[in-house]
Amino acid sequence: MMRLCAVWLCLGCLLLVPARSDAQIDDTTWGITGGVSPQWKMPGTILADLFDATTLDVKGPEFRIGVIRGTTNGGEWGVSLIHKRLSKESEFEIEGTNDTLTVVADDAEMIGLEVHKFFPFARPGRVQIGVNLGGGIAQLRGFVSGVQIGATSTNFSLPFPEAFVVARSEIDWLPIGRAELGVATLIGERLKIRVSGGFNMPGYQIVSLSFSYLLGQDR
Amino acid sequence: MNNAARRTRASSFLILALVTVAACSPGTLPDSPSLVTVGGGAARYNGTITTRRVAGNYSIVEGTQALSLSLTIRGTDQIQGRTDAAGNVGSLTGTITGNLASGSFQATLLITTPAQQGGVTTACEGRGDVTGTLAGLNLVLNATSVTYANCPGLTTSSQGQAVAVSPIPGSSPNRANVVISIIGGANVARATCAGGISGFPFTVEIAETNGINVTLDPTFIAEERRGGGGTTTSTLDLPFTELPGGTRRTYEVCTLTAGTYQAFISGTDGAGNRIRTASPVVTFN
Repeated sequence: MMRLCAVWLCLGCLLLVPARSDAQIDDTTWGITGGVSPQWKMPGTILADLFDATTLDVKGPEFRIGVIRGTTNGGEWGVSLIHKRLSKESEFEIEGTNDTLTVVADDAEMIGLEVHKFFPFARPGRVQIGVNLGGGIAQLRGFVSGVQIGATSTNFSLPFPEAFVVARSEIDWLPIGRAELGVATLIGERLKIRVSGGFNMPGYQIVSLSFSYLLGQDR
Repeated sequence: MNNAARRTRASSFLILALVTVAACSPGTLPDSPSLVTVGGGAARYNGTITTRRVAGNYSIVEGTQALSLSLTIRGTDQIQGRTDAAGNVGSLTGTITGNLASGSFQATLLITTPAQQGGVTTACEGRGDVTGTLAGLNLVLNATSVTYANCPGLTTSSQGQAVAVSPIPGSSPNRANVVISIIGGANVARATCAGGISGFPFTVEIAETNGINVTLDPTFIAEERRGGGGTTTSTLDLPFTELPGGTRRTYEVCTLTAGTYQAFISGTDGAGNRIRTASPVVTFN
């Protein structure tokens, strides 16, 4: 409930930002972009089969930085470096041949590249409402603990990709993608701030904050 | 001091140096090499081993064969060895009391023995307990009962004796050497396991020491005996199957009750050799 209120508050603030009459960059130009999702998570059972897991509770923050090409009033596309960190509370269970391996993230992350495009479909004033679509690939990195629990427990420190070996697979790379609904507002003539939420595959996020800064010449 | 005196002194030093070097050069060493001494961290033994079939409807090569045995002490109380008797290679892992010059050991022998039954030759994978004594250069070992899981009913016994020929373990070209040891020793005292639970925590290390890659089997066996009861055998998934040559992997174990633990790991090396090895028996007390 608190998160929902925060999202509505952010959206409200964006809509209330006063419009300025500065010249804007209408020619397509290069820029930089960055963003953060305080918490990205993979739901418990929906995606479990995808990873040969029985349960899945993976979450953590996401950071993005990249380059874009677009206009002030129009949409933009870009390429970003994506860093999804798995919090130490992230846990999933892999059903092996003889036992279940409970995997806990120690120092695990996903780093990848994503191509994304923001399509604005409504422009009330200096606000853009649209969808942000993207796709790419990420590498699984870092270490996890794989624990076989029993009268005697056995704890393996494993590179993240090896967490799936007991299910006879090793996942080094994972496709990533996003489909988010977002609201952006122009601040000055170069900066756009966007609040969005939606699918952030593999998983989803309630809220994500990003910015775009266009580097082109004013008209 | 004039130049002539300096030259004379320099010449004297040069002559003295040459005389000293000549006195220590290999050409002046005694003709017979010094005796091999045992007592360090490793030794290579040559000798003989006599194997007998005790039971089972198989025929094996019985009698006395040449034995080559390399032993290495790991940590303070663990021993790891590699045996080769007429091409039949085995591993030997256990604990040692004393040292290589004066001591005794108890170990698990894992050996592959070709056996024939009905005209068909099978590579029988045997396992047995070995006891041995070490006195000076001499080693004596005794395996009273080696049983073979894939050759039902076959039981053999072996007695061997060997003499240390080098403090350097023999090499095993084109064959991986996988060693399982217990970091900190095979006797584990009660302590605190992860999560703050009282138990017996210890770390198992699996190392390849001959620079040859090994693909481990996807499961391993853990044998446990708790509170003086019977032996429980568990087949567990091994979450890693690649052991690159010269690398090591570890895993941590915590058991809550006193008893023993032993792990058995197998695989195939890059040269196609079947690799089987055991950890020492870990005792919780």
